[in-house]
Parts: sequence; C-alpha cells; structure tokens
Amino acid sequence: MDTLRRGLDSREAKGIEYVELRADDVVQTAIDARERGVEVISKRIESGHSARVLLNGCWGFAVADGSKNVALTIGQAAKVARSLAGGKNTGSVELADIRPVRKHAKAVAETPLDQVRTADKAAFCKRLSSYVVGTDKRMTSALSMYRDFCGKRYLVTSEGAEVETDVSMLYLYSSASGKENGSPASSRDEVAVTGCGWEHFERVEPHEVIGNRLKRKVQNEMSGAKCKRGSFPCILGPKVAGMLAHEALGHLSEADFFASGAFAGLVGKRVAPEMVTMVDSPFVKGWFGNIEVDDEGVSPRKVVVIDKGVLGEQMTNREWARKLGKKPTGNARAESYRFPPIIRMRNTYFERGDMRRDELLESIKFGYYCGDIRGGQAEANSSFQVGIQECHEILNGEIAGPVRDLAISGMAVKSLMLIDGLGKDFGFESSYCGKINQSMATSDGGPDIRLRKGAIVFGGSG
Amino acid sequence: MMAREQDLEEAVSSALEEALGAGRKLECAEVEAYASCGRMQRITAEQSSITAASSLSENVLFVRVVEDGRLGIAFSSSFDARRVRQCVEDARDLAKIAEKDSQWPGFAPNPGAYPRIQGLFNKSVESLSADDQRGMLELMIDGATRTAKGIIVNIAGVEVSRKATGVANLNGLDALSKDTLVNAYCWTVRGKGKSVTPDCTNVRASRRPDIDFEKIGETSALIALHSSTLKKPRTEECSVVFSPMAVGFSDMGLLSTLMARGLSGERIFRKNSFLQEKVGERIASKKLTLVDDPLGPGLSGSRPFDDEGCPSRRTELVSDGVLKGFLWDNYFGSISGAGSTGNAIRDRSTGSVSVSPTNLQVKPGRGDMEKIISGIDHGYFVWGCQGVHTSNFETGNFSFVASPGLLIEKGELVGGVRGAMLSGNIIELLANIDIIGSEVQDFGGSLMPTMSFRDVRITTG
Repeated sequence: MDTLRRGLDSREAKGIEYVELRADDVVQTAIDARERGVEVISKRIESGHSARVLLNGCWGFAVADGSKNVALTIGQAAKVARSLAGGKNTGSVELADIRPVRKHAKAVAETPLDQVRTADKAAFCKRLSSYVVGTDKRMTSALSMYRDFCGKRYLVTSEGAEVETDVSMLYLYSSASGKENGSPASSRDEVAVTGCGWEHFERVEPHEVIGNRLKRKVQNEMSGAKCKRGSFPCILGPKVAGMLAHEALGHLSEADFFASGAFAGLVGKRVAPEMVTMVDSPFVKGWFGNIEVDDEGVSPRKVVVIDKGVLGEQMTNREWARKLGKKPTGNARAESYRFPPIIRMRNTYFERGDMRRDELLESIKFGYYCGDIRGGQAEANSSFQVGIQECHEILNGEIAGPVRDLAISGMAVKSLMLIDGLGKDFGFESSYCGKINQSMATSDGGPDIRLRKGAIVFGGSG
Repeated sequence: MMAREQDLEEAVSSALEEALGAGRKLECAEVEAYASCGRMQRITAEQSSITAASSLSENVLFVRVVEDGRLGIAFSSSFDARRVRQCVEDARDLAKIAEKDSQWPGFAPNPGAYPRIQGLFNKSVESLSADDQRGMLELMIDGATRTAKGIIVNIAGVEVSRKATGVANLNGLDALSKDTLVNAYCWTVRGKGKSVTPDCTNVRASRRPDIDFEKIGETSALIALHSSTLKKPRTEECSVVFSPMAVGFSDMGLLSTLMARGLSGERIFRKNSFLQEKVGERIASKKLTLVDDPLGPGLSGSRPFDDEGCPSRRTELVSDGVLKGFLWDNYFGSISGAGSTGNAIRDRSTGSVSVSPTNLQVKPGRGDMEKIISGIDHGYFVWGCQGVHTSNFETGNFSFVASPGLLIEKGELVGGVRGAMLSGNIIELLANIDIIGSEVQDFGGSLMPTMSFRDVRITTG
C-alpha cells in the first residue's frame, strides 16, 4: 500500500486528472484429480501492479510485474492516454463524483485456505472423483478441478480511496461421464464461494454431497429421452432462472451494453408481468459475487434492474454513471491488476414468488422442467442459448421422465412478458462470467419460473 | 519504456537458464521451464468513440518438476531471479506430495533442430506508433459507420504485440522464438430497443500490419444492416451457409469448437471423443480435407515449436472425408504410442499441458461467399454460432442459435432471423457438405473458408 501511495506523490502523477493504482499479491493453488489419482498440482504467485489514468478525456492503462517502479507505470499509462488526445472520434470521459472509500475488507474464513495443507486439498479432490466412479458402476470417469486464491489486493486513487482486500476464494468444478446401454452421457457441477474457508467442504458441501449431485445429473442424462423440438410451456428451475437473469437480462442492464441493447429506451416501461422483480446485489451470504468495495473505490449498492415488471436502473461504473447523470452503483470490477475495471454483475437474481411447485406444475399438460445448466451465451438483442442438464418432461401437471442433450433458446425481452408464475423456493449457481476477455466471480439465481408456450424454444441435439 | 524484441528474447533466455540452474542445484530429477515475455499496446473504442489505450507487459514462467514420476507445477508473473528459484522450489515441493504416474514418459526429448518459418516476426510492427494504431482503429470505425445510417460500433479495438517464447528442459531441449501479431476486432449493432440486431462481430489477425481495417468495419456493419430487416424463420430442413467466422473462429465456430475437441489425442486416450475408433472411416463428405498446419509462412497461427518445445509439424486429420489421425502432446502421444504432433498447449490457469490444434485449416474449394449464397434458392446464412460451446463432445451432438442469422431467398440475403436454432450431429452434418469456399480467413489459430451444407435442421418457436 505504501508503494502505491508513494506512486501518487511521484512526479509522473502530477497534473493528471485521475490516477488509480491497483496491486495484487495473490497465491493460487490448482489441483485436478481423477478417480485414479491427482493429475495436476500447481501453485501460482501473481504479484504486480497497474496504473489507470484519465487524461484529456481518455483512459490510459499500463501493467507491470512486481511492486517496484510504480511511477514508471503511471508515466507509461499517461503516455498512451496522451497518444489519443486530439484524434478523430476520440472520447471525452468524465467521472461521476463519489465519496472515496478507505477500508480494509477482511475475509471471515474459519479455516483459512492457506492454512490447509495442499496434500489435504488434493486428497479431497481425489476422494470426490473416486466416490463418483466407485459408487455407481455406470460412471466411467470423474474429474475434480479445484482452485483457490489467497492473498491481498490493494487500490489507491488520487481522490483518496484506499482499499485493502483479503482474498479468499474457493472454486471446484467437477464433471463425470457415464455409459448405459452403449450411450455416453456427461454432466458438470460447480461450487464457488468468496470470503469463506475450507470449512465449506467440511460442513456445507462435503464430497458425498457434491458427488451424489453430480451422479444424479449424469444418471438423468443417461436415461433421458430426446426432447421434442419446438416451443412448449415450461418451468425454469432456480439455476436456469439465474442464467436468464444474468446472461440474457443482466448483461443488457450493464450501462456499457445498455445503450445499444434490447432494453434501450424502455426505462420506466413495463418489460415483464408485475410479479417480476430482478436485482443485482453486492452481497448475498454464501454467494460468489460478493464485494465490499468495487475496483474504482466505490461503495457498492443494490441495483433493482426490474422493479415489479417495470425496467429500472442500470449497473454502472463512474464513467457511465456520469453519462447517465446517476449515482454510481459500484459495479466496476477487474479480474486482477492486469485488467482495467469494467462494468460487471455481482449477484443477480429474480426475487421469489409465492407459488408451491405443485401449483406451478398443475396447469401444464405437456412441457419441460429445466433444472440445471451446462453453459450458455446471450447477446445485446437478448437472444440467448443455454445448454440444459437435469431436464424432465412435465406430463399432466406432474414431473415425468428425464430428457437428455437439451438446449434452449429465446429472446429474453419476449420471454420475460410470458412469465406467468414464480415459485417460493429459491436457489442459485456460482461461476465465472466472461466479458471483454475478463473472467469474473458471479452468482445468479431465483425461484422456479413458469413460462407460457412461445417463450422458450427447445432444440435438443442428436 | 517498451522493451525491444532483443530484450524480450534475452529476458526469456535468462529466465529459462535461471530455472534450469536452480533445478540442477536442487538436484531435481527432471525440470522443464516455459517462459514468455510480451509487450502489447491496445487501443479501444466504445460506442463509436475511442476512449482508452493500454500498454501491457506480460512475463509468464511455468516450471514443471518431476521426481520419481511425481509432477509438481509452479508459475509466476515475474522473472526476478529470486522468484524464479522460488518457483522451482515450489514445483519440487509439490512433486513430493503428488501421486506417482507409472506411465510418466519424461519431458520432451531434444529434437536437435526446429523448422524455420518465415514471416512470424515483422519489423514494421515494432515501429508502429500509437498514432498509427489509432489511425487503424479510426479506419475500422469509419468503415462501419459509413456503411449505413444507424450503425453503432459497440466495441472495437486494435492490438499490436511482440512476444518472445522459450522452452527448455534438462534433456537438452532449448527452444526460443519471437513473433509479432496484429489483432483487429469490430462489434457493431443497428437499431434500438426491441429491434436491435444481434452482435455483428468481425475479427482478423495477422503477423503484419497489412489488415484491411476499413473492410473489417464495413463487413461487420453490412451484417448488421442485413440483420436489421426482420424475417421470420421456419422449422424446417434446408440449406445453410456458414461464414468463415461460423466455421472456425474460436468458440463461435462450429469446426473450431467441435472438431478441435474431437480430434484431441487426450480425448481419444480418455475415450470421450465422438471420433473414437474412427480412423480410416469416412466421417465427412469427400469434399472435406482438414489439416493442422503450424508451418505456413506468415500465418498468425504458425509457430516453430509447441508449449513443451516439441517441433511443429503439419498433421493430416481428415483427407477427402476420411479420418486420418489425431493431435497429440508429448505425454499422451508417448503413452498412446502415436508420438507428439507438436500440439501441446499450456493451460494458463494451472500451468499444466493439454492438447489443442495450432492452426486448423479446411482445404479451400471453389466459389466465393457471394457466389455460394447466390446459388441457394431458400436457406439461411450463419455469421456466428451462439452457444456452440455447449455441444456434447462425446457424441458430437450440437445445438446452437444462428446469431447473427440471415435468410436467403432466391440467392439474396433478404433479412435477419432471430432465434433460429440449428441442431444435429457433427458427423451427419459433415456428410452433407455442399460447397467449400475458395477464400480463407486467418483468425490466428484457424484458417477457414465459407462452407455450405444441405438438409440442416432448423427449429423455431
């Protein structure tokens, strides 16, 4: 922190409208284990700093390894910013005013991840893969990919923000393949938590819990029927609802994508039935997208993207808050010191409704219940495509047989208007989201959401 | 100050030397180091306005240590001698707690020599000024906005980079190379609110600053222009033309996603590829010949050695529709008996090595994109495959949305379609290749033409 502070006092920083310095000192542990054993065990030391400056209405950004020569990095950032001055189409960036935060954001891990032996982490991963394959003869292989990040991140700005953040993140991606009657199938699972320690695997999700969940997904795929093609009424479970909230609607409400997206011009207008409220929150206990301060030193707040069916606020950084004449929401986030902060979601979800699952099901004669996702993608016009796992047919108001190899698509702005029921139960998914080459920890969720025919296209492959 | 390329090579060489020296001193049985040192300058535009410039320096050092068949990996973003030694010690310590791999074949042997590939390093890239680069981006934005009223350049950028890469191990393998790269990307949309088009992205990569920047913007805008007249797609089976982007650009491309995974020797060894046990069989129309060729002079996917230091080579994968072979790294190539094809790639999040194509190429056929489209009475033109990365790589089943997708009627692009989902199995699709285009586009890792297919299954709402 002192090195960064000294950078702000350097000759290179003088006369620059705004200087933002960030540094990371983070150690990552990575383990890949299959049922036969641990295949990868690695350690990464990530240590470096970056400078972002605002000069003549243009951003300049420079990155350097280690913590020395911060002044040189500021000079480099200023040099590239100056190179844009006076050019054609050159921007005129201004920043919304904020009250700069001075804070030490502390991790609250009971068993800090850096105090757990790497050998114990590796044993956990192997135990999980072995458990999946060893407890069901149809499972042919399993892979557990564990990552944790421990250390510190620092931020200082010329406006007086000073933030020290304890990094403690754990992430486990597991996948398994199986074969029944010669037909292969595979599924995946993710566990991701910010600010928590190893106690998560000891108390919240031990390997049996994750393993059983993963097996259930593969079993569903193995025994599933092909889906019918076309549009049908359906219920999206919390994880799929979360994907819709994040990919198809959340990105449209990030201010940098909003202006030329499907929501442009619709603020204050009805975009969904009154029962629908969708938010992006900086903190939900146990979720992955939690932050105490954003990467521009802004104290983050909850954003109500859709308020009782009416399009509300956009997520902003300081630059876009100024353009829109709004108070910043604290959504500026950077993957690491190597990247400039951009507008990112944190924890995005639909608020729950009041219907029991059987009430949601009863009006559907034929349709689908989509339980979980295999990944997805959305675009500025709200077109989305999501690979589905854990899908079941709905027959005469009841959950029926499983469905395999399913993908769904739609136009979210159209789908939203066709929501006609929200469940009481609530769930979420945590993962990494990619935007402009940066990967970011986020969570998304919601209740069961029922949609009428015409909202979702089912296009099972194979 | 930006380091010159000589400094980059020296930095890589000394990091490798330091790592092997530390390994010898610690009496490690086997040590391998991979180092890369790069400098990139990026200028970006948002909402048609140039707003940011970045100067990025990146040092990466990966160290793998093996003791008695036990592998430990450590990596760092610093070439500082103390940090390099720390890396070697960490890798050795992790090797002690790793499990023994009884099949461990050792790191790659010293090949003696590497292929010489012309045109990987271009001096004129080094002398590009920030003004030159800004001018390139302005050309791209002008090309887009001049094409039609209402075009918005959502995001565009020009990246210019220089990099030195090296690999060394205690077997005497010692590889060093340098290259330059210019990347350009332009993402436009047209319309507003509910009538806005999908993201219309165009990209190009080159070792030289010879990209037609104006054309990149113009083509991106033309797709947005066509896409802004809405047409209704039908649930049907019909002809579909894939743009070079839709065939082979990264995770947006059908072949760069499905075939890249299916052809991986690692997947073959683990028995989870849809191409399992199909060597010698016809897996596609006779029209398809697919190679991985990292040796092409000046191509942005070319390189003299892979990320383990194995020499690059041309690998025939599909010849006249018949599957000929797969891609291998040193580990899976050794234990399977196939041998390395020089296709190791370093996983930047773990430091481990896996298998990937270097420069996947479909052999060009006849006819340019316009001519192929003009020969179709009714069908669709796919510019990007939204969600193709969620395909099933064990079965080859795919399902994605044509986005942007355009309707073809009587040989003309008549408007954009929303939500047209294409699904099927890649082997069945490849049997139905109609025409392969004559012009290929270099995406920096693949070189792809336009392709058209018959009887493709379309589903709509």
